[in-house]
Amino acid sequence: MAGDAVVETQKLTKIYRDFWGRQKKTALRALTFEVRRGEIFGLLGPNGSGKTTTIKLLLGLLFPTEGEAFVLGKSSNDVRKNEKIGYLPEESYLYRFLNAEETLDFYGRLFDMDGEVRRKRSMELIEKVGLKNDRKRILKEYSKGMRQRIGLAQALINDPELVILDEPTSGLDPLGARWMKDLIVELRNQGKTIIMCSHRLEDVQDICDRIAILSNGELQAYGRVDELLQDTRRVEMRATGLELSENLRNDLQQLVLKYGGKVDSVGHPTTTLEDYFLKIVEESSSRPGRRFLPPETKN
Amino acid sequence: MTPLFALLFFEKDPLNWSNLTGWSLIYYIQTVGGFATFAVFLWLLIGYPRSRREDIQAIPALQRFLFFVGAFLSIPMLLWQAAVLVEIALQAVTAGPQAQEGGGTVAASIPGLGFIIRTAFPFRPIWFHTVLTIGGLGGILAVLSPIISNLFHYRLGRLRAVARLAFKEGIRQRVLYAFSGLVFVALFAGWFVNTKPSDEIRTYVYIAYFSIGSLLLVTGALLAGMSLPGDMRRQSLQTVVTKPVERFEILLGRIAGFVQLMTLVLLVMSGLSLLYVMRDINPEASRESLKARVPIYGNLRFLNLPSNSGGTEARGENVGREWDYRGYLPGSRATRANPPQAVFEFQEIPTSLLQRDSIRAEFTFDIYRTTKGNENQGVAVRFAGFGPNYTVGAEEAWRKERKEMRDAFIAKGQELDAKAELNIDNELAKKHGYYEMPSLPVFDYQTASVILPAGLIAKDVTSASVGKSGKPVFPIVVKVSCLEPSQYIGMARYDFYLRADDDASRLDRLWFGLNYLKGAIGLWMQLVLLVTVAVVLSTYFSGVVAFLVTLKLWVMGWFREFVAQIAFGANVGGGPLESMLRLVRRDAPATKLEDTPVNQAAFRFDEFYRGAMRIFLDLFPDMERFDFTIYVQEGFDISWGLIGVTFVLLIGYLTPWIVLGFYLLRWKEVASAN
Repeated sequence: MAGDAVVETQKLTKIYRDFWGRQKKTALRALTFEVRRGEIFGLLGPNGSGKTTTIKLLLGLLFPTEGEAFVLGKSSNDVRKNEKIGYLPEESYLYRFLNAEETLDFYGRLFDMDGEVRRKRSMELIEKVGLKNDRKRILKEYSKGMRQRIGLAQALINDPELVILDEPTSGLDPLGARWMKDLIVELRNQGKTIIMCSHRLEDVQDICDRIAILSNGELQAYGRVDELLQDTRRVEMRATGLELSENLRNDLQQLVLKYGGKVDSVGHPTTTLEDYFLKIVEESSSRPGRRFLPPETKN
Repeated sequence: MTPLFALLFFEKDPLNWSNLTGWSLIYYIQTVGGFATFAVFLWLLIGYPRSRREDIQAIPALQRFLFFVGAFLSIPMLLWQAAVLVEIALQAVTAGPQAQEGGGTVAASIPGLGFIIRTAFPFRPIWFHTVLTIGGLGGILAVLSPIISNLFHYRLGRLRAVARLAFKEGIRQRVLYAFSGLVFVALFAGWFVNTKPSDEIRTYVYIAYFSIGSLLLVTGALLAGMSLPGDMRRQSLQTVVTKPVERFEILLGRIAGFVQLMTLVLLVMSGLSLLYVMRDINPEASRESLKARVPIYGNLRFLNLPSNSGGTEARGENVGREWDYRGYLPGSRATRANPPQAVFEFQEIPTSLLQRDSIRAEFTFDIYRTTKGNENQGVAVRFAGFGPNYTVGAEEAWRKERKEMRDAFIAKGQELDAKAELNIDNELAKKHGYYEMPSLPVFDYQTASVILPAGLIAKDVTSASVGKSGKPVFPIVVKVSCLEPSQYIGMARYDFYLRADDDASRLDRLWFGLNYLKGAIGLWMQLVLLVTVAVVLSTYFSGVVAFLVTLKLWVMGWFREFVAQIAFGANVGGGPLESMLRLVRRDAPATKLEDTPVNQAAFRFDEFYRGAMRIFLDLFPDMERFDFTIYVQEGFDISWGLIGVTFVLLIGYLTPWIVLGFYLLRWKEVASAN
């Protein structure tokens, strides 16, 4: 295992079999990759591509058919590796008959944490995920977003070195998704390593340092996000303080033609819908009572 | 006064600590070791070739070492198992009509644990048992190797966390409240049951234990069986398994949590039902059963029976009763030199008896009459007590001196009341080590008592020892003889006992209440058994299947003796196919079937079936051992010794199950359940 590698797999293969040992499905085929310390690593792929299987193999929830996986220097089947891991499952599979405090207390006890430390850490995390006022409610009464928040809190109860997040923004509204992404970046800035798999490509693009793309259980692409997404056939220039006049358009076109290129389009850039949404919501908070009126009601 | 009926009888001897040593322990090791060895063999045959090289290499060195040592030692056990399987196959092939006479297999039982031995167990040579026991230990060591090598990684804190979770889960499941409510409904069953006034306590105790037991046991098994599969289905177990918690801790924690929960419910239910049982009790019922008699049992042997020409026998005469629980003592004239006698030799007495003036002995005998005798009068029986100070021939001196002392007392003009008589008897008992009750009328199955002077017992002899003459010396011996030549007195070891408790105590209600709660410990042990088995089975089966298999084991456990009879061909009517043939042809169960090809096929199938049953017989728990209802019903104390031994038996039964659960959960791909 390389010095700065937190996770390393070698020809990791998972074949699901039936009761009689007959092969049912090859979920993962000879997957080899590594995750380095302090990075946010994204696992991408369509449904059934093997993302969740990979995560479950890393966590020891499934046993590999072939190959090996090492997490924090230990075999993925070694329970002791879990001492430094935090895991947020996709559906936040927690005990719905417990409240938030009890949930964190329970998982804290599984780490054999001292009572005082456990209580202090639980309260910090409950505040951090914004559930202070709901900490006495049982999880059955929580919305999906709240369950995701308490799920994240339980994943961080042991102050882990490696955080594994399965669809962390799934079921969250844009505000919640942004909060989650900010938190993931904050965790990375604290020196933790994060592995996340997500369907929301914009999330991955926003925050991941490196990614692996899986399809049909096989690794299709692997590397730094900016390198993978770089389109060397196109050139982009951004400028401010200009009005996009017809003369400017013509001049730019002439310049591109002079250097042998072709202008595809010239125009104002658009922001992302997420940024626009967040801007509107923030404005509504700062100016209460303001609302949008459709054109026909303005008069 | 109405006659007293308070009788405790034991088809099987009650357990004591000596049952846990010697052959019973060896048998346990060989049985559990046998299963363990077979499991190791199966793994080497099937599991090892399918294991990944990386996984084998990752096995810790200590575990590897323990496994190899254990597997090597278990080779003789494996060879023996192969021989037994060949024997079963041969028996099935060669089975003929003799099988219906139970001639195929020799059955023997070890007193106490109720284990039925597959083949004449204790009668094989010592070297054989030594090799087989070492083999069994080897198998156990190999199977336990991953647990032992990981022992220092288990944490009580994590186990308690899982237990608390299971406890909370159980509390917050409404099924528990529903079942608990049903118990209260069942407690009022007494309103609809017509009982004799003297049987009130017996009936109420039965209703209370039965309703609490059956409902709580079902609830416990249901909650425990459904829990883990539910966790796997909801995938909450996945989150738990990603923490540094050993799967063994999850298994033990689950068991502990549900046991805690059900213990709490049982405590509350027992307390409430005790109030129900003890309310407004009929005085007759109080006199019979509202007690906690502490009996001291002696060993019984018979002397001078006609059938054994003056020798001694463990069993009395057989008068032809179908139930052969009791032996019978023939009557003889009081003047006969060596009359037939039943001798109760008490191996040990508590020192508390030394503080008393008298010792109360109670007995319940069966009368077998060969002539009508005197109508409405009991059969005359003589009781004689012997202490360590007794010397041969002291009887005559005792009788003479007793008469003189009584006469002298009366001559002084004093009233010879019971206290004065007891003083005389104590003085003489100390001097001669002898006391006799010349004639006492005994009635059929009525509980009566004899007051023995405490002077019979000596401070320095509270347990049996070997005297200077080389003969055994007992703290106290009671000889019983029947004085009517045409009558027989039937008795078993447990029909005569000394009372270690103080009969004059006014704390009967308190002792009964405590005894009632002790009786609930039997229910608790059944709960522990069912919860553990249900949790273990739920690591592999679905919740419903785990629940049903657990209930089946529980029910089969109550019929274990019958299952054993079938397994050893000791029952009337043969195995399943043979009895089906008899049913179809309307043949009587006891008739011998002809040697036809169809019958031969049935015999062979049945013999094979019996062989398989003999192998798996020990999977069924001996549930009768965990039932203390009869003690409470009849007003007899449940000793802590009995509770302790039964608990050890429970642990002995459950340990292999827990180890099985360890492997099932360890090999489980938690995430593949979806």
